[in-house]
Amino acid sequence: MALSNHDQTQIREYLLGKLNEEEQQRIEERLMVEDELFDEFEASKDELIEDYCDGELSQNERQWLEEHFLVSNDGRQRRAFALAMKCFHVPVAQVNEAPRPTWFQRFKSLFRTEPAAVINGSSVALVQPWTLVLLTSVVLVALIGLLVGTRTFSRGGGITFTGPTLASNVIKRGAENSLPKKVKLPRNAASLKLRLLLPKDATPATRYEAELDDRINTKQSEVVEFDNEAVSVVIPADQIPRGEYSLKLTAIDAAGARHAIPGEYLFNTE
Amino acid sequence: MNKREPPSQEAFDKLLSWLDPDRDKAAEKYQRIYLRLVRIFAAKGCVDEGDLADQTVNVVAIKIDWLIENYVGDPALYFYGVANKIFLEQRPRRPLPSPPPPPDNTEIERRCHCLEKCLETDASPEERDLVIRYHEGDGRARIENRKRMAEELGITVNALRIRICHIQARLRPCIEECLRQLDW
Repeated sequence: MALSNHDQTQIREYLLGKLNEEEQQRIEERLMVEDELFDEFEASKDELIEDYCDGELSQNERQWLEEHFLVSNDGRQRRAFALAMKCFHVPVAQVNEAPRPTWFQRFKSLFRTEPAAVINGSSVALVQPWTLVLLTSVVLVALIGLLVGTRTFSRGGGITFTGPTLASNVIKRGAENSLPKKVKLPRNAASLKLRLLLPKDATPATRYEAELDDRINTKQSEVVEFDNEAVSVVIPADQIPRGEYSLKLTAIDAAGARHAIPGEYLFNTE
Repeated sequence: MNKREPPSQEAFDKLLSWLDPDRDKAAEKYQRIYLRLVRIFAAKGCVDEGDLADQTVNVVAIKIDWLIENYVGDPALYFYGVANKIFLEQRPRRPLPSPPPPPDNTEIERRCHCLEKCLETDASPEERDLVIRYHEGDGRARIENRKRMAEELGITVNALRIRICHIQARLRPCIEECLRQLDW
């Protein structure tokens, strides 16, 4: 039997806990015996998880999914797959399941009349009129400050864009044939910050040096921070026009001995 | 004998015969029923969906002599009836599950690597391109992209999403296995 739009809608509603017990049971019985409906069910789950990862579900829908389907092995696997797929297309740093509310949304939520509004999992108590006036003033002053600050900063040459976390091609699969990570640099980026994952057995170091290789020349890159897991470097945007690059890391231990971190960290700027 | 204990080989053989006299077809039907039970338990928010599906099969197997004599109808629906009871029975005991942890960059990076690997090993080059293209873009652009892909393939968008769903179902276990290997 061909599926109707109603079936598609019902499957989605079922997954989001919007059906009553009787409707739920009817859908589940059909899932046991109808192949086409079961295929639809499987495809709908992938799409729902995609919407979840893109932050396109309402707060209630997110919560339902998190407390039900996402606690199952099937849900966890599908979520992991969706995240991996997103990372395939955009830098890891931009993969964000639940977009944080904008400042405007947060500010607007303070004007709710309910005794307690839940914003991103935390409660906001009832706001009295005098606090609204005060808050408005504070926000306005902050906005003006922010605008002035942004202008000053822009004149200073643009932003530092935080790119993806990179694993070396040795960590990933052995030295050969690893796909470089794509990095889309915004126009206003003055520099790119990358986090480079260290191998688990990396030599403890007191500092690191990073070398950028564009396959013709090599340049030193600034190491801005590091811990046991990763090293962060910042590369001026003018050193990385569109193309493929690799970064090599060297660890320097307390005795001053240099240890090359195996492999390269590959990326592609666009 | 506890109803939740695994059935004897004899009971399990009878259960397969009940599903279909042909052994191969019976095995296929059994797998289909088992998968659907797992998926339904998962959709209901059961952490241990595989275990609950096993329990369901065990209960049905214990009753197999009675079922062969008396049950009329699609066996899949009987399995479902038992599954529903097991779900209702365990629901009050179920601890409130904790929400999934926020994505961690290192973990995403590992999964991305495994996805790359599995796309190479467990998908044909055409399937690989299909899956990658299918996920390109955001919002409206993604919808248009998928329409275009379906047109190119001469199939409906719905047929395309089902095809993608089948490829992804094959890739997911490969990704899990790859992650396990990375953990070693």
